[in-house]
Amino acid sequence: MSDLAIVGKWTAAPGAREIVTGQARYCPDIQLPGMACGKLLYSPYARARIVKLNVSAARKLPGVFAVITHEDIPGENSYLYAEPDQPLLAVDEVRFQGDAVAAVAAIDARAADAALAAIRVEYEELPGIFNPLEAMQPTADQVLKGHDNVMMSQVYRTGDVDAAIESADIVIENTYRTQWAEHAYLEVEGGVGLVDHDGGITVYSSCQAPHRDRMQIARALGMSESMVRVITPYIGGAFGAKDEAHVQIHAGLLAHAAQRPVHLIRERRESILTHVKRHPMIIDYTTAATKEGQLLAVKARVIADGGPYSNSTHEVVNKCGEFIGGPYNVENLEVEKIAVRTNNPICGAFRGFGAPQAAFVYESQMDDLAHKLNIDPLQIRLLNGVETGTKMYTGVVVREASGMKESLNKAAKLIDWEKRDEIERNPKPHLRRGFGMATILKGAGLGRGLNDHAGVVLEMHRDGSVVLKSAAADMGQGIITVMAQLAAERLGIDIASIRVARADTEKAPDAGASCASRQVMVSGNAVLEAADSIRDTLLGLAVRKTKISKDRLDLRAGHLVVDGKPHEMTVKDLALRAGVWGYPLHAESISHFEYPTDVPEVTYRYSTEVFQFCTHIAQVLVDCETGQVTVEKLVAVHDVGKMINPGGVYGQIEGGIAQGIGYALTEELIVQNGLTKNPSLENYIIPMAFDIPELEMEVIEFPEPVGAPLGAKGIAEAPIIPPAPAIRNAIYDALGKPLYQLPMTPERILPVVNLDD
Amino acid sequence: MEEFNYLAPESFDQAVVAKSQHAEKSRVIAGGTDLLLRMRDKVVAPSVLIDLRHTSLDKILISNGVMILGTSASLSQILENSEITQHFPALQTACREFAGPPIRNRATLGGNIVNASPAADLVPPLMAYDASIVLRASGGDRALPLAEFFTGPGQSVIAPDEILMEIQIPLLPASSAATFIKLGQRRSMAISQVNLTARLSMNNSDCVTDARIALGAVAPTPVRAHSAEDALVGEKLSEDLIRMAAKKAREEITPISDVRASLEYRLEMTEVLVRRALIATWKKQRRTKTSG
Ligand SMILES: Cc1cc2nc3c(=O)[nH]c(=O)nc-3n(C[C@H](O)[C@H](O)[C@H](O)COP(=O)(O)OP(=O)(O)OC[C@H]3O[C@@H](n4cnc5c(N)ncnc54)[C@H](O)[C@@H]3O)c2cc1C
Repeated sequence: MSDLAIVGKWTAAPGAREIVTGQARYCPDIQLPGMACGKLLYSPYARARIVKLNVSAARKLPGVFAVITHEDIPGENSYLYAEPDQPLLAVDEVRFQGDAVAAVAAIDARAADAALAAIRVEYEELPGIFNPLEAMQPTADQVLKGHDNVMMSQVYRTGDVDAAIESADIVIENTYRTQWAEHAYLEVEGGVGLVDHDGGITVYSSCQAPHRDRMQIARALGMSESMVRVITPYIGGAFGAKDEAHVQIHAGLLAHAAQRPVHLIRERRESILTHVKRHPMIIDYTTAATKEGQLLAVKARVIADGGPYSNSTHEVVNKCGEFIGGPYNVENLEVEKIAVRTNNPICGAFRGFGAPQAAFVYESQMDDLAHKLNIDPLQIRLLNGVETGTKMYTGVVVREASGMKESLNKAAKLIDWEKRDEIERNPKPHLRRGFGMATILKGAGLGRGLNDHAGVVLEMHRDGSVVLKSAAADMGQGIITVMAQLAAERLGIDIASIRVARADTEKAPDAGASCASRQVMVSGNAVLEAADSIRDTLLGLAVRKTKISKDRLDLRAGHLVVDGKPHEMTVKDLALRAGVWGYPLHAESISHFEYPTDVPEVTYRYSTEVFQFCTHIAQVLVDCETGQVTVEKLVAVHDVGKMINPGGVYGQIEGGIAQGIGYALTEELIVQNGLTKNPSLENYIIPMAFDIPELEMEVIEFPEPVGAPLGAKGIAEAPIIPPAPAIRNAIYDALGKPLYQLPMTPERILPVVNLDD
Repeated sequence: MEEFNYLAPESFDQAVVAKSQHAEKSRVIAGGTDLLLRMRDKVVAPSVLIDLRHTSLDKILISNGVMILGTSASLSQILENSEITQHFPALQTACREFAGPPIRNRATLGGNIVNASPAADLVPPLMAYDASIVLRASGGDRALPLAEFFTGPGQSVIAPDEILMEIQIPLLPASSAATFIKLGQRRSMAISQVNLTARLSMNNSDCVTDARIALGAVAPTPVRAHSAEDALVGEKLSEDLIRMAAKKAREEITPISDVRASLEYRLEMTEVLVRRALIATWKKQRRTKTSG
């Protein structure tokens, strides 16, 4: 195969100019004639009975077009991700601060505010259930009547864990705690609903899953899915929280009720209070090993607080369990996965889907083990790391694992790991420096047994220009660029000749959600297939015209290529010929995530089989008097299989590291008795440019052998996962004391500091 | 946000007239970086806003041994002023560690004072430099030491018809040096958990002739640590003396726990940071002496 012309090369992302010059239109920028302002009334209580709900005064106010409550929903009054247990508008009880109670559409924001103020809600506050450990007790009051507070309780076992622990030279047992984390995307949730000529509803939605949105909107409206259309304008970040529906359903309901366009955008405070958070977890973890550091067994119990409704809790907690042993060869493993309902914030998807919590724990355990056994943290990881062909504790045989050890070795080299003791550890009496590493795996795709496919439509016109239609949402992560590159590569044109339509359910088939680092693989494969079909037609025409056999032909840089040399005939010429001769250059393809059948039986439910491997090493400086941690340097080595868009890959790594540093050190939603104390970016502390250290990044490429376009296996989630454990291990190295709770704030660090050490 | 009238008087005199006319119902708006947020959150709901943008109150000049800063001087202006670099470097350090460039372009010195946040970053350096302020009403001017301005969180002695006009800082003898330190939850765009300025004047034998320690975010208002200051004055400076003064500062404050920090952490950090600020100031003194 000839070398690649476009894939793997730096390129300007389609739409980049619009974004940086402010021309790109996001949901808040959409203006339509007669458009009303929509707003929601949210519960101020963590738990309360709705004694009375009266909207008649609000309905009578001037400029108010619609006021709706649960009674006015024509279809089903629920979100539907996995279980339809969260009402769109509360019925008789509110179960978290932020449960929506009513929705209004009015002529402008002022009138909408007045309408909200005129809605009479009488609440009777109820004692909430805020502690997941108490909620788990059989005697506990039910958060959601008729539903067990324990919404998930599963045990997965492989091998003989108890016997392995019994025979071990060393057993380490700890309890870890993680926090609620907020996605803090630039663009908060929003949607614009409008009524079509035939009574159907179109919704512009800031989302990750347009087709699932369509299903949910249709359900709520009691309409067929064919009457609902979802379009994504530009989207300013999502990170998982927009995988689940938010206000786009209400935008559709209000447009239907008001029979006019409705603009419904949350404010930042509303956004923080109402969208799903990363689950706080309590994880008990036991590691058993030989005195040489060989892992024998892992036993873990994960308790996740999901808030009152299920959202994607099952999926997140299942993924946490799937990766709980890390990228290591662990023959005996037991994990108990428990998810609990409480009256705390709702929780769901967030970049990594439970893997960051798992990695914080298993990588902390690795360092505790290394310290206790006096083994170098690098060596203990190399000793236990999975290899190509390893049968994992999930039952999955890793098809390509070279990136695991290679990323460790490369990262160690980048930071000069062997010579780290030559660096001043104690630059001032109150300052301590340390180094810590973390190596992780994250599966791409939804998992075996789940519906995981994507479709695209590709058309080349007579002038050689191309339109690519896909319903894969691009929230800024760059799937549009990747799809354009892959199509351009196969069609021998430059990416500027390709227009990628923004996701629209009426233009393209379902591509599923942009989540689980899956779109490069599923949509990528669909694009290759569709492009190859058009390429075939073009080459067939070239054969007819030149009488040269097809195996000597190629398309590249806008030209037909014969035996590697450009021919005078261009791709445009061929496209024109196709048009004139009546060969439509139109292709559709639907690609399914590949799960080969010729492998041993997989035992972990919904396990993934394609893994991103990466290693981060952090250098930190701890101020032992203030507890402040400075991340001085961070090196990151990522195996992406094949890098399609370098700008996108490095961008994802940088962004993930920044978000990971926040998760490690400062980010924490402070929730007391179900009420969030810091629903603003003033007090929910995400890192800023000055908090990000010098980064050294390296990408390695071990092509994925099965089902990956050109070997590429995605990147989006992996980078957020290792910073927290790497920084934790570096703090351990600096202070000689381990920490077991995130985030590692100064006030949590100070108690373990002993300056006399 | 509630509805309001917006006035942008063409002169300061007109602004003063408007303020006395609308009194309690009105608010002065300078950069708006505090006020607009409070209006959005309905903490305040003025029916008239009086914008000072056309009143030329942003001048910074020295006259008769006193530096005069107009209330509307932006933080960026303060950062760029070389006379402030020379005479009041701790004020510039506070500006540099304040928010980020866009906010520093809008936010004003006067707004930071009148807003009366206990955590206001510019107040400790100003207090340590013995700043005083001039308030104007249609009835006349009133000058008072900045330290006497604050009465509680968001509360001050400013009357409804008064506008802050300027801040005055007496030029200091060369034997005086000061250090500002801010502790925040991140390196920029952070509201202080604790902030402070220490200023020392010393004679040739390392004896403290004058001391100021002004602290923010550790009491209902910015405060001076008087007993710590008293412990220093007249004594020969030593690490032990500094440690003792830092302990005293800790004993003088009355912090609270909030989302940014606990009471205990603020107590602890006050001691650590007062000690660090005094040591850094002492070092600066030595440097000026050896170089001069
Ligand atoms: C993102 C962000 C970051 C911030 N970071 C910091 C920080 O790091 N440190 C910090 O201390 N603060 C910070 N602040 C708070 C704020 O920026 C400062 O307090 C700023 O100095 C206020 O100045 P202003 O000109 O914007 O005041 P305005 O908001 O215009 O006014 C503030 C108050 O003072 C009154 N006022 C203003 N001028 C006068 C006058 N001449 N006479 C009478 N009353 C007057 C107003 O009526 C109002 O009540 C931050 C704010 C934001 C939004």
